[in-house]
Amino acid sequence: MTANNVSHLRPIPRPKIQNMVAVASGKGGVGKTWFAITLAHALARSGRRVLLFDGDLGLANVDIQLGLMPKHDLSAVVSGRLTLAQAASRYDDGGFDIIAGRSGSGRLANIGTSRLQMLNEDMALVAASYDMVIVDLGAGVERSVLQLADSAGTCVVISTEEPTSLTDAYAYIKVTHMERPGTDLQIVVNMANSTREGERTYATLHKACEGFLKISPPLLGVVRRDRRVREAIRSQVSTLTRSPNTEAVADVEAIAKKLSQALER
Amino acid sequence: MRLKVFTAATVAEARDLAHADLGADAIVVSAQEPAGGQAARVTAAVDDDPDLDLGPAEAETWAAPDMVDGVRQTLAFHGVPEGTARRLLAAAAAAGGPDPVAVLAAALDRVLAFAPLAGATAGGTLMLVGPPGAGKTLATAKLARRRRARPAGPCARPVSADTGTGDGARLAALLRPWDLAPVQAAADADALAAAAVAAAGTGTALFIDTPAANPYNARDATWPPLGRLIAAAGPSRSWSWPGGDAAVEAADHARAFAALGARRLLATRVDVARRLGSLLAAADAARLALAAVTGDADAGRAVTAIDAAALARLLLPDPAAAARPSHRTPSAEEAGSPRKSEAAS
Repeated sequence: MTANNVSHLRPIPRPKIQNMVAVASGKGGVGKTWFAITLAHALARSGRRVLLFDGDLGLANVDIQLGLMPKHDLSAVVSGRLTLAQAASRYDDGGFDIIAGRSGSGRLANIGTSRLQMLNEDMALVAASYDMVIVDLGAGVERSVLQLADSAGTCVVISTEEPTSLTDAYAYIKVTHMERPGTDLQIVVNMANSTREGERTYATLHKACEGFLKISPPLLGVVRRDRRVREAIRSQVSTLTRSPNTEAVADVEAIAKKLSQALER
Repeated sequence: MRLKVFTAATVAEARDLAHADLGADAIVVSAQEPAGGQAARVTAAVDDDPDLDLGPAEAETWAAPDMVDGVRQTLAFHGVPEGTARRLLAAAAAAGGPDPVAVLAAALDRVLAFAPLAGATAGGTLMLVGPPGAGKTLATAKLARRRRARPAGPCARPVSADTGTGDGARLAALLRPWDLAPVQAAADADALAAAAVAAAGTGTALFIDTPAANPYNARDATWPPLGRLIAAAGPSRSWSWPGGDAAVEAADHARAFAALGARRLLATRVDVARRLGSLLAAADAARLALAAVTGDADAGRAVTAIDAAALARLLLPDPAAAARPSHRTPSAEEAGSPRKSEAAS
């Protein structure tokens, strides 16, 4: 290494981690964290070794939704006290591992791009120990969000029927496409009043992507609205544990199956 | 992208409204025919920022991957323990910049402590403690000679608290060429305390060599007396680290001697150590301030003060050093790996 080959560079595209799925939304409040948890749980129930990584830096809430008090979290990794693998906690009820974030952590919220780059590198190592790694990204289209998703083999973009959600999901797809053309972007419509309405919402987003960006991100699935989802979140329990027979859970299980099948191909 | 809903009697009319409002580039992303007394409804979209610019790639310095990887490889080569290495890498990545030495130095400065021995001697005493074979006697001789070589400043008085193994005589032999004050023997803590009291206020600096002690055996006959010696000597004491030990071992030793009162770390024999991971491990584990290195069996050669930049240069491969006659020729094993330049001594 010499000074000559060290320069200020834009992020260098890194190889994708095929078994990593980043869950993004653009807009907050669309059920992204719930979806990531339920997806991880569904994959684990199908016999996969799953890691759920709370990548909502600074406003993490996977542990809150599940009522967990993890001994370690991402802040210990960022400070160098633990490796990423050491920061993983077992969520016994769900049968999967979690790397928790820390809500309100300025250190995590302001993590630098270089540190994020290292996190991505570490993630590649950790991902080798799992069948699937789910990354719950923060809302927004900030560079830190995009960078954390950069290594993911698949990026699932969550939208609801709300126009603000649609435009923010589109914004996420757009910046990801501009930064990393060829990224495997797939769309999930959450909190849909029905499957048909969800498909209609997808069609709206899809048409905008085709019209403006000339890309056609496929529909990964529609998750129907279900009041028991809210009840589970309020109870700080996974919906798959509290209400395993809901339509919303069935929808997420179908999505988990599609992702698993895609990984096997 | 902006979305807007337009209603009219027919979809075609709603579409016209959309284009009139949003422009010809607007696209209709959904349309509902009138039904049940409801008007036709069109949702149109326009992407009003087609050339979205995310701004500069880096608001902060982007530590280029090869920079981080280079530091990582260097730390791995030296066998720096994982916890210490991770903190150093995080600090290096945060520091950024074009100069590898500066980046690693910034990381070392952030993670480890540095303090010169010169400050330690200002109070009048500097005691070296360490395990057997750490090079305390030779380092004591070098430090005393360095003080003597300065035209100004306090007189140097070497003191040997190691009266049972002949190291006092060895210290005297090492110092003979430099016309220093005779080596003072201090057989126990009381004698050492008396020597310190006598030196206080006279401008004389004491350089105290101590018996080797086994930190793993509290019942070792040398350990309790060493504690008393340290207490008697006053505030300035350093742990003498023999280069090349296993990192974990060095960290354990450092903690033990720090618990006994050591505050600084003097690295000896760095000329025979290719890997300095144990030095970093010891300093980090026991929060000892890195003070100096020495690496030559000749008592006439100096002890070199070390700061973050100097340590970074020792750790990193140094192309310039290869041109120096004294530089070691890298072995085949080292080829392609980071190597440290010869320690200044």
